[in-house]
Amino acid sequence: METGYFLAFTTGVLGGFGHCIGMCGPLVASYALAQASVPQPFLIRMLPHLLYNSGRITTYALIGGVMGLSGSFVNVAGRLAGIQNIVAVITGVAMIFMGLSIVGIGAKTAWIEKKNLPILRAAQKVLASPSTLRYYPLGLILGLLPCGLSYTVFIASAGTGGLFPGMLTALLFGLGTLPALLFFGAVMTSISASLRGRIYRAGGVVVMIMGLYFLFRGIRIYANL
Amino acid sequence: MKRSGRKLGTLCMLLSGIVILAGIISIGVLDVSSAENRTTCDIQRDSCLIQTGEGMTIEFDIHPKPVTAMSELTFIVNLSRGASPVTDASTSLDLSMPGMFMGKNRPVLKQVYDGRYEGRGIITRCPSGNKTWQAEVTVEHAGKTAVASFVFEVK
Repeated sequence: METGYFLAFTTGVLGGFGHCIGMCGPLVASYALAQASVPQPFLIRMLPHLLYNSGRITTYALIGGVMGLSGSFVNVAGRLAGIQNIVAVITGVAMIFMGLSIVGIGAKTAWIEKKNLPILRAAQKVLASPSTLRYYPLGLILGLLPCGLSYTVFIASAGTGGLFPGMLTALLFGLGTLPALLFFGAVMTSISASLRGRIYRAGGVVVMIMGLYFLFRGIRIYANL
Repeated sequence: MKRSGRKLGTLCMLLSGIVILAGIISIGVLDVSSAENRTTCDIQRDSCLIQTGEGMTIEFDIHPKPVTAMSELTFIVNLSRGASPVTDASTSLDLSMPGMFMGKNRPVLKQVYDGRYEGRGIITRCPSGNKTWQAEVTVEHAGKTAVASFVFEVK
């Protein structure tokens, strides 16, 4: 059992610097670039990253607990699949709008408020709220994004056969990914604080392209089901 | 204050470059199969076969077919030397995705009858759309180690 916990943690560390930065780095970059450009102390600017990652790891732990309690990865993953695909699609759409906002055509997206879609209004509330605390629920939701690396850890969680061992396995994995994603977030935040004008707007275009990629990924996974 | 901010920014950029480079290298290192024996096969139609330099035949198969990600699978390894099954070997299986670190996925193999080793496990789905996987079978027998890699696609 202890070997399994250590393995889960090291999987997170190894995965964080390779897999996670590559696959979820665009997401981290998008909300870092979308942050207000008002000069703030570095630690204050890191708070969104800490909250986002705390939310993400909370979700991993919860899923790991459910996997451990059920003892079956396939059954639980099957039930989660639909939700995960929706999250992937919404994430892509949200990143596109974030990019539009950075580029400076956010006002033209006001039409979305006329659409009476609860999911979009909820997403807008989370993204548009001025409170830094919004990054925690954002992390909770985005922790549901489908990820092959986390699936492997969830298989291990299911194999523990228990709620708390399963939860602990997934929690340790999440903690292992923390150094890489916090570091990447710090770099992105430093870059966004020093970019102004056209370079900042170019960042918005990059965020939109990355959003299209996430959207395409979510639709492609859905189509394969 | 401005100078120290710039220095911190430059340091962050340099360190991030090193970290990203280390990540890329680590993926490359993890991706390189140490197997002398490697084959690409259509696991959806039939089993895969490798003949090692020491005259051992390693046959790898997955059931049920079609082989799909995110489902319970049975991994089968048949070992033989000529017409005789190899019954006293120690075998292990390592599933990985070439080019993408997906964590350790090692279904445990046990001999079910002469020369046939089976284990149950799951091949996870990668949201990138990549469906290429690699099964590395390690066989320890008579003081020697043989490693065979089978590259295949899942549905």
